[in-house]
Amino acid sequence: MCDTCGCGDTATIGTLTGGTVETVAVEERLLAKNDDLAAHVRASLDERGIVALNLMSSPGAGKTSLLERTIAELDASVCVIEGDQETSYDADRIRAAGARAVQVNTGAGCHLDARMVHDALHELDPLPGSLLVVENVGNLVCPALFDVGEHAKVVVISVTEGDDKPLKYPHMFAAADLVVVNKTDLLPYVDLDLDRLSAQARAVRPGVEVLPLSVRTGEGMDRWYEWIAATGSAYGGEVRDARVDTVRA
Amino acid sequence: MHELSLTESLVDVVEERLAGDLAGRTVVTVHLRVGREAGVMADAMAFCWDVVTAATPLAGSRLEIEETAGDELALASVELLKEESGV
Repeated sequence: MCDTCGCGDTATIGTLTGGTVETVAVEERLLAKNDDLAAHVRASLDERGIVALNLMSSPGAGKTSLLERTIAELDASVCVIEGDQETSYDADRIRAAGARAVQVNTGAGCHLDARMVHDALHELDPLPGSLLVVENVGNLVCPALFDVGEHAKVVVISVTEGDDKPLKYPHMFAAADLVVVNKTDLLPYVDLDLDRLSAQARAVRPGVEVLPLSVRTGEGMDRWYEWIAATGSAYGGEVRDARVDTVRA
Repeated sequence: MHELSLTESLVDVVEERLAGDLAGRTVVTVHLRVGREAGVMADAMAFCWDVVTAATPLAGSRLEIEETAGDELALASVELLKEESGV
């Protein structure tokens, strides 16, 4: 028994007498299985020219709204894997917006892992050349740790959440390939300092692009579509933003 | 709490890697290394150890966690007890 609270933490193992203890060296990363499966997912997406984004944020930052507008405006096939603890609300919204979606309910789980995404992909069967978005469980902590086979991680934060979040949740922002700051239409009503938010994000992820936009008004959405097209090209995907092509031509 | 699913992964890894060694032996201690930058609360893994290992060959074992620098999260070794009466 532990002397402090009697919890049993320091209990000795009485059964050790009368036996021999052998130490077996194992040396295996705990996430090895997840990461192997994520690599398999990424390779199978690469074969079909599909680019995958892992979209993460706290609940209510506007991930699903961003996708609804993207599906409506982006001239590309978009497929979505939705992660939530319960309900199919988000997958219903994505389907209503005109895209294919599979809902994953994690129950008590706080994040999506490679196994869930792998299994969901069998059901979703995204078209070659499409954009696949994995909308993770709303949570600024756990999803950062799990590779789900994406090509890039996008963290969405809304202006009402405050400019101190990157240093408060450094693992999430350190993993970000893009930080989207949503709801800029509300900036006149809140105290968020965009420069401070950007500086904090770059303190944990040097050089990361911080992209302010408003899904509601459309401000900044053009840059979002440019980023998607550039990311698609960078990873050999065939996702094109037809509007950007038109402007260049 | 991703520590719960990581602890479940740890039990899976031990069971898989030691499948041939577990017969007739008792798992005494599992040694894990957790980096300070790993984004994992070692205490939370220790807290759920008894619940996660219940009804597995690891039931009754101890989880020893060594904190390290960096971001590793790795199973280092396992101590197995061989009962002499069983020889």
